[in-house]
Amino acid sequence: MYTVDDLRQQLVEETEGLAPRVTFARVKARAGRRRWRGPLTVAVAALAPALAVGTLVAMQPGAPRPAPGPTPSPTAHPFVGPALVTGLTVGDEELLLFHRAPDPNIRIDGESRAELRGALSDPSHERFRELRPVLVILPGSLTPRVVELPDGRGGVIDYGVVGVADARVEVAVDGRTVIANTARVPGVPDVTVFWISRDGPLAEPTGVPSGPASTAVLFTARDASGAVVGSTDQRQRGDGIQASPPPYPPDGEPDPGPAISVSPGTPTFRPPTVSPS
Amino acid sequence: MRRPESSGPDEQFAAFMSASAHRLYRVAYLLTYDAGQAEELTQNALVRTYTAWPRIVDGDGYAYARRILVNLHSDWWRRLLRRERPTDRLPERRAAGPDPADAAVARTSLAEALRQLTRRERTVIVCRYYLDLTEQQTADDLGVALGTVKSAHARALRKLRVDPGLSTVVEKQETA
Repeated sequence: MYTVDDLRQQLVEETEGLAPRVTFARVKARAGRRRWRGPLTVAVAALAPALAVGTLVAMQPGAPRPAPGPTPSPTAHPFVGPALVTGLTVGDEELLLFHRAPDPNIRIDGESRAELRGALSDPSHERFRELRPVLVILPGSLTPRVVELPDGRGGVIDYGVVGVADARVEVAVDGRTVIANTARVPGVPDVTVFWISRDGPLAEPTGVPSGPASTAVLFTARDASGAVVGSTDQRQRGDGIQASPPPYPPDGEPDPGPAISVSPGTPTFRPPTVSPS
Repeated sequence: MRRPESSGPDEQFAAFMSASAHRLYRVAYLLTYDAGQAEELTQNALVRTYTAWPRIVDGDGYAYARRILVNLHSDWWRRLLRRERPTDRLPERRAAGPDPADAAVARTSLAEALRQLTRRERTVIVCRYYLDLTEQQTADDLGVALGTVKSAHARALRKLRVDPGLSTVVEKQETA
């Protein structure tokens, strides 16, 4: 026989021993970001017309112009160590970053082959997800290798590598040419990683832009002297986000534990957190 | 919880957190029955409480945080209803403890029965019987009319009463 007092007691027992992992530092960090979000939203709304005009001017045919975009910054990510944070966001807030993942088990001509990985991380670096496919870097590979990723807001992010240090990568889309953002990845010599955010449909799953829905995109890499070193119109659609954590956490770093569980296939993005009122 | 007067805002809030985070998390768990969601809900409520900390005039941070948590849960639920939310994991349950088997079965039945309630009904049950709020306080926290709380409360008890796993629960309620 139960009464409402038993119901009370069972509600208490149901939660006995439960403890949150929320820390004051984490709350304070999130509150700091939340304070900035309101004024930034107002500022962005006020600047939107000017930004739209600026973007249209930058995308006109003619001399290549630097592609507008956030400034990349090297950082030490708690999951993978040295990484390059592009400043581009996927979904609501996840940042696109690149990091080196040397694999001692994969060797070519007796040498360990380095791999460059794209990944998504939340701004506080508490969550981390690897992107596929892995970009294998062959020394002296002068043909850009390009991967496409939906940005979760209807746009596309093209990113890739070319085996030339300090390369400049031009991207031709619909008769317009822009300069992709480029950078070196910490710990990866003689390789340039590049990325660009744009509108348009994704490439076909095979990477061959043959279907009517695909947009022809030409990537041309130039070396520091301006000479063309390689070009490609092939791009591979990113086929998902790995559900496993990075295989080689930095020395001395604790195992970050399993990454966010996602389904394989089309990249999916975690549900947005509760937005501020 | 009253705020100490002699320390800075951060120290005050840290003390408030250490005293209240567990209670808030347990309320969040009863509302969601999902450890991950409960933690996210608790953290968001605490973030908002921290942001508003200087403005909490009466110093009752716990009541403020609890109200935010309950309302965030309502907003969150509305948002989730509008999107697909696939999952391949069952909701986390507490680890098996030393309790007798009968008690464990009763707890499981209660959890299952509470899951069958609507969001508002479950929230009212948690407010009334876990937080020990009056019907008026529950209405104030949820921002709804007193009559809404009364009707949700009555519906929830009626459902619990006829739930196969808790067929005898609250049977004595009318005579109590």
